[in-house]
Amino acid sequence: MIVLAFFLSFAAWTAMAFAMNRHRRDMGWVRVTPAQRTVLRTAGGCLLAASLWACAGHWGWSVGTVAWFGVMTISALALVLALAFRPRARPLPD
Amino acid sequence: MKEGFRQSMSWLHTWGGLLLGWVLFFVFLTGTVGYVEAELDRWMRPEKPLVAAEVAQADALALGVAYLERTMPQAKRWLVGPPGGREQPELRYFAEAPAKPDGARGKRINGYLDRQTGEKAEYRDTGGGRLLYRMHYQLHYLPRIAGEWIVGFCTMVMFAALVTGVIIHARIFKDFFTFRPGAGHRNWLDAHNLLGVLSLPFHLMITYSGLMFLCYVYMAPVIAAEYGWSKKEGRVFVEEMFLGGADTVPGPAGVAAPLTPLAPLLAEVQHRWGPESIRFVDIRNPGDANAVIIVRNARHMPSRDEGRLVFNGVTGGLIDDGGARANPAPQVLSATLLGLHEGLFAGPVLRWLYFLAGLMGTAMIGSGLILWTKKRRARLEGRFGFALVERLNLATVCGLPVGTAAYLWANRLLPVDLGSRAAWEADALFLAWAAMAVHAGLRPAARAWVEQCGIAAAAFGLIPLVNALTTDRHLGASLAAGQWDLAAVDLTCLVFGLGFLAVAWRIHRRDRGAVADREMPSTTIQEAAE
Repeated sequence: MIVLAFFLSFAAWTAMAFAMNRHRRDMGWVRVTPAQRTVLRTAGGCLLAASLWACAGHWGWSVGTVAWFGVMTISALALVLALAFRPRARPLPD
Repeated sequence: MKEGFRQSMSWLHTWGGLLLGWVLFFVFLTGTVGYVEAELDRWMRPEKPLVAAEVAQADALALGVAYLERTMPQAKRWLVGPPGGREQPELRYFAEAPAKPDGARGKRINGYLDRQTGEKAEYRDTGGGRLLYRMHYQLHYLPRIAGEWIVGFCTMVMFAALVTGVIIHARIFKDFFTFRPGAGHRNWLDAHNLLGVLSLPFHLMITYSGLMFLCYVYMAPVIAAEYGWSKKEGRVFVEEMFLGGADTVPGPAGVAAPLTPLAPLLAEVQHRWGPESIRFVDIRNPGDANAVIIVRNARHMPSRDEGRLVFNGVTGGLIDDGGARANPAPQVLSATLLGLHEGLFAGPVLRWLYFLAGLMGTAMIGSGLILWTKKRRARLEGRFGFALVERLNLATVCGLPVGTAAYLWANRLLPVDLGSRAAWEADALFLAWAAMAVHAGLRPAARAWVEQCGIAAAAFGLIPLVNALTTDRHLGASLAAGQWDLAAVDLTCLVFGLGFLAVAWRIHRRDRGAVADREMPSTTIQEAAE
């Protein structure tokens, strides 16, 4: 559950980064269209909510909410480091 | 106000942050260590058995009460805390004798007991993680009240720095994931912003609730206006505020009466709160007709609100189950914020998250201090003020971690029977810190950074080795026994050591590169001349 919460939050931040042109450029993608941006941001928001749900599933709502903030911080930090040092990394070789 | 709003905010952020940043760095670092206080306490008492025996709380409590019956039968108060998880891994006792005829406070004793035999357990005299934790709101070598005032003032500035930081960093969402590694002060600015923004909820919570902890200190006149200035009147406030109403326990009747057996009471407590949920049992006037037994429960939720059961100490009847106590909304809110600050409810994963968030806060302050010099180097280098800030930054950002490592070294290396040993451990911290400050003052700034990072790398990286050479509680033993609390201290020190080594290596390579760049033209000219 904790690992799930982390990856949901990481996916959320990734979606949000994909909605920003600076990071798209670093990752080698074309510019975002307004429609795409809306979809990506909404998806990010939904994924963050899902991460909260996963935290609550493990810790219960009161402690889970506290942990959610920590999970969001750590996953965002992981994404920042990935974007800074390996912007074009792919999960699988092309 | 000739300048714009944002400029004045920027001014406040820069200068408030700089002038108090050194104290705030200390507060954040020692406070972060406070989240692993119990683990450090354990590490710093290597005499404790490697694997703690599992005993029922009721059995441990019986041993504790039996010990106090033998040691101080005529007491005003006995307090026994059974071993119960991380918060209180030990069987602890405290007892206070009745006041002397002249009104002076009676003798007090406290210590640890072996949970299986009930005999006194002897550990080396150490401040443990507890002392570092206490430093983050009381500092050290200062009267408690002075330390609290200084920290309270700095916390207020910290809060202002957070708010102004958000205002001046208007691109907070645009730059949300931005970190551009590379030369110049741009990467320090990115790092400072990121460390601030990514755990902003933590920073705001910790700073605001930190202010709330100390508000009784610096808003004392507000309390005094209602309750009065004297110590006794102050005590009434403390009782009403923190102890759930005035202490209604009567004094001794002077008539001897045997204490009721504890077992049925503890069964009743367990029925209400579940197993192993007792924080301590507080027995007033033991052996007297007016004996009262108060049981407190352990904290497992973010709210600090505690349960309390009060029993008659002779008949064993329940006097107060805490149900009648009303909790006004502001008190619930304040208890929740203070509970969030302490994070006592956190299990291992959440505790790591707290620890990392604390480290990020510390790093945010450190990077802010360094940023001040990076931005002004071109303009101010060579001036006394600039050199002073640069040296103080180094002495704080590298020197204090070295001091903390020295504290752990001292725990292992000072003779076990040294008088006031715990005080010497703390002295070791500040002596090492002072030595680093002197070093920072004497060496050329660029070299000093490499050297101090190198010293810090050795100071942390060698701790597992020092531990292995001086005790048999080393990584080999703790990992083999699956004692992760113990192993985590060694391993975390090792990781810090490697981190400092990486930084030292990076600065060293960069400086060598810079020197090579500068020397290049002259060698080219020489070659050309030949």
